[in-house]
Amino acid sequence: MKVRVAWCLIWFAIVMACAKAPEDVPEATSSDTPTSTTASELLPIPDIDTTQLAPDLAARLEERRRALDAASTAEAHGELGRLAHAYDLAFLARPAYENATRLAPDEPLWPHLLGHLERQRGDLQAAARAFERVIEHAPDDRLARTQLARAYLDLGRDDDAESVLRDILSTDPNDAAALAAIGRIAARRGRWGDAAAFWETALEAAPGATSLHIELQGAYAQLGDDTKARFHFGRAGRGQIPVADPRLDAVRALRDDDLGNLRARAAAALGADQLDQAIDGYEAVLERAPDDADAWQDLAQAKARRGDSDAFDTYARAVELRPDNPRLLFDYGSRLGNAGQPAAAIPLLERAVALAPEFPEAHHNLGSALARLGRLDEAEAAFTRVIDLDPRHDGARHLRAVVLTELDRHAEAIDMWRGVIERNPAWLEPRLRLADALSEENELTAAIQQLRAVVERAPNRAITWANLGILLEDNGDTEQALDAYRRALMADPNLHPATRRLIALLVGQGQCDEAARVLETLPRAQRGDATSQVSGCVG
Amino acid sequence: MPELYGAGAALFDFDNDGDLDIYLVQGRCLTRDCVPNPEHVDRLLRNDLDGDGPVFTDVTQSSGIDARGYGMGVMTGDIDNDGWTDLYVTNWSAPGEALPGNQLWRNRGDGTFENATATSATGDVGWSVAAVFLDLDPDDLLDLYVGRYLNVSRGLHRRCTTDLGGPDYCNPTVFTPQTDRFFHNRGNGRFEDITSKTGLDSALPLAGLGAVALELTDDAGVSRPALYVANDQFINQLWILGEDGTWVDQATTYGLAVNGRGAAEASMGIAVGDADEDGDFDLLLTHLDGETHTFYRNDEVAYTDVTDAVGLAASSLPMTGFGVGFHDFDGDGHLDILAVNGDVKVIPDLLLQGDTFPFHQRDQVFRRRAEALVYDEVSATAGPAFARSEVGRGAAFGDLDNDGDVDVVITTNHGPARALIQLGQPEPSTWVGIRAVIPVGDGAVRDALGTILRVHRDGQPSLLRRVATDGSYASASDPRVTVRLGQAAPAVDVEACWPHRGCEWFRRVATGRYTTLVRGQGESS
Repeated sequence: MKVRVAWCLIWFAIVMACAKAPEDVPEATSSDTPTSTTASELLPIPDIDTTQLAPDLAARLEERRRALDAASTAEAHGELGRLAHAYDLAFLARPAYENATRLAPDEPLWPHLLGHLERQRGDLQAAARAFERVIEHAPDDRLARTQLARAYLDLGRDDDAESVLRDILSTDPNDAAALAAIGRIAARRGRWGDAAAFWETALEAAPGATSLHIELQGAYAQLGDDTKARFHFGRAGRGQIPVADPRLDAVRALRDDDLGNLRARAAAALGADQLDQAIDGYEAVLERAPDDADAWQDLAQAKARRGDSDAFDTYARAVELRPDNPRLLFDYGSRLGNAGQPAAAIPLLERAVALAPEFPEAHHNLGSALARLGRLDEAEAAFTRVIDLDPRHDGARHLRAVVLTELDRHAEAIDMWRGVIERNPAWLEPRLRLADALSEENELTAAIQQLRAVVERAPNRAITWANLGILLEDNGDTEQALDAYRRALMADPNLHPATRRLIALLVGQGQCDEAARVLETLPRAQRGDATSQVSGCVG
Repeated sequence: MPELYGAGAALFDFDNDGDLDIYLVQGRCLTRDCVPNPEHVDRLLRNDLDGDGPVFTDVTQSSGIDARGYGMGVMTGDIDNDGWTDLYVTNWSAPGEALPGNQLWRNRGDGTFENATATSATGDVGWSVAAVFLDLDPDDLLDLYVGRYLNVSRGLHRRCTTDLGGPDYCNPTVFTPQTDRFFHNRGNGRFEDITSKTGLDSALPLAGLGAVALELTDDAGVSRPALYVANDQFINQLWILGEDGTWVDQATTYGLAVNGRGAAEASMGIAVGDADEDGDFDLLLTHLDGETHTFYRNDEVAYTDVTDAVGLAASSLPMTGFGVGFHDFDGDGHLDILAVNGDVKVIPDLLLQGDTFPFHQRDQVFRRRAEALVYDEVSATAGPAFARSEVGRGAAFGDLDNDGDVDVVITTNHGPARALIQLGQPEPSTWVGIRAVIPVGDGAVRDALGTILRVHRDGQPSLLRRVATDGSYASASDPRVTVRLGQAAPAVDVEACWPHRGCEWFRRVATGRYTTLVRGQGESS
């Protein structure tokens, strides 16, 4: 099959052409804005299928639509626009704002919000036109001028932006946002001295805007002033200049009590480990939607992580609502297992694996719970299933090996741990277990090797040093055993069994002075027969 | 979720005939009751470049590639130093699924490939998108980093909703991220998993989607291999290889973990380029809508988020970006930007207008101003391709017609792949094409991934470029470097700094054509 590619032109104009006006919204200008707009001059408001919406949002939209049908006023159009805007429904918000603007050309709110909407959609030209419409009717509108300057800057219309910014500064010379923006224009023109001066003034006006230090560092570096550049580099932070826009804030507030918003905020809090906020958030969701199984599940998770005693009741409620969700059953069962309730965990995990037989972690946690109850054959089968599903699951291999030792299948366990250790040389637990198993099989040299590898990586593990000492002693390597006991006591001077073993070994070696010194470190209640050993020591 | 994240493409010369062929990664039906469609396999298209431009022939069947995974991404590199470029394909799979994990396809050099996944020991069941070939140690063998995303299987399915109340794809934070993997190339086509040995599993796994290899200089002035990983909704990671052979994440120190406002963003694609022309590489990351295409300027000691200052914030805010690249599209010597967009959450506006796949967005082109590091969006004048609204994902950049400018293959989710060719031909004296290679025996060479090139110009700053196939999203780009000089010259001097082997000068490299620079054949510098 021969395919010749379709050619698509990529062409760069040196001067960016003006973007065409949006097709579905005729552009309104001051000259064609009617002073008395008739219904035929208004844009049609599209119908929407509210069956796709959450019921509370559908009801709110329908209510605003009915208000509009009752009286086609600027406010009715604008309010519909604001609600649609709050939910990113630009296709509905744009004509509504546009109509509101046509019906009340002197009202700055509607074109101002239209400007924000266009900006959010990425149509910066349309955003600039909307803010220009505000200024035409309300030249002193500070909010719109700030946004217009921002739109010009984003469009690369630096001269226009500078003109608007200088107007703002003529009425408020300390407007930090305007100062910072005009500094940026100077920087774009390579006038680094001017840029630095504007940014310094902006920083004085908004000292919390520590991100300006980044700009200043760059400016002074360009000016060759390393001292100042370093000064600002050391103070750079993430503080931004606050730019208030209460008109837009009011639109956002329309979603504050929205269920989806509550859910999203709660989920974000849970993701950020802010458990108090997450729990409050999910409880607020459940007040409005008491059968929201996801919310019950996430609330249960948050409560479990916070250690709340009623976390399991919450999980139980979620399971009632969604009895066939393997993830939920897994979460609940795993938490019960971790809380020392394996008998309660097992039926939940068994249901999880029945519903999702390819879910390795569920098999794994089921195996753990079974092992805790001593149901070793079943546990071993569960871990084997994990390994079948995910051959890299060394956690399951390790636990399977633990179960195999309980089942007196030492050789299999030893092989399994060796594989785990080869792939995870820094994981100490399997080495310790392997050392135990090897010593059970009387393979002392191999066991010693494992414990040595552990203390190499974790030299402060006193108990491992002590166990190493015992194995060395059993292996007849007295000098190294002495050293191991000494290292154990360096790591934990209160490890009294190790102290007693060291004393016994020192006495056996005739090192009576050291034995006596070590004895002095041992509390009397812990000395046992160590005192008589030292007394009878022959050096 | 996996159905919304693929798939990518590779531009590479599999038959060593001097032009770029295309590999396209495919998804497939995911429902339990679907009948597998034999057409749903990855595709290899051979470029038979003629005087009228590229002509592609589907040679999948004859190539022996039978990649029927749930495809995500692809990376290219010659893993066995035989002079033929191999493919590593990343897939979504899960334990118990009848779908293959990641696959390594070895190029036999006779137009066919063999599945070397098992023999190379680079297979992996899970969800991977990004992969990077880099030579970690001075053995001239390409090692392999494989990014891993989330632990998602049918058993872990969760129901998520839009802000409007209807069903939607979930936020990645509801799933558990997976640990990335690193494979050391032991030679003879065999790899060893050294993830633990190198400490890559020492940090919490963080849902990586994009990755690039970098080289950073440590406090002692020693150059160290580094990997920058773009994580979705989690902090990004900058793994730097320490003297002891272990990776240490230093993203926070370098200012690359979070954006300038201190927020972890939903990072997807990565572009690397010396956009400010100060002799080091800056980074651009694409993100979710409501975030920006974030520009991190390299300021020697650390990176700074200058997205606002370079003019990218406003125009990228509404877009969910994936594939991205820094390339000089207009030939003025400055790096422009092409970003491929498409959402991962239902776009309410489209849904309520009856759109059956309400995720599509426009792709974007940003032109760098000559006088300053400021970008203007020029998508409206960049051609009809940029008026089209699709669910863009991968972008593989390369000179498909060998005419000296950079073209791009864009992949879309739920739509066709598109080859966008820059029309017209640059004046031959205004560009230079370079293929930097390492001799690998028997007269064969392989692309010297990781090499840094400095192209010297009269009276203007040198142009810094990297020899790389990584970056962008889920895609592998042309390893050749196509440099638009922004001025006319009969030839240029080029300094090539090879991984682990120092730098060499290549004098009087002719403009107007591609020249192969072979390591060891230049003058030491």
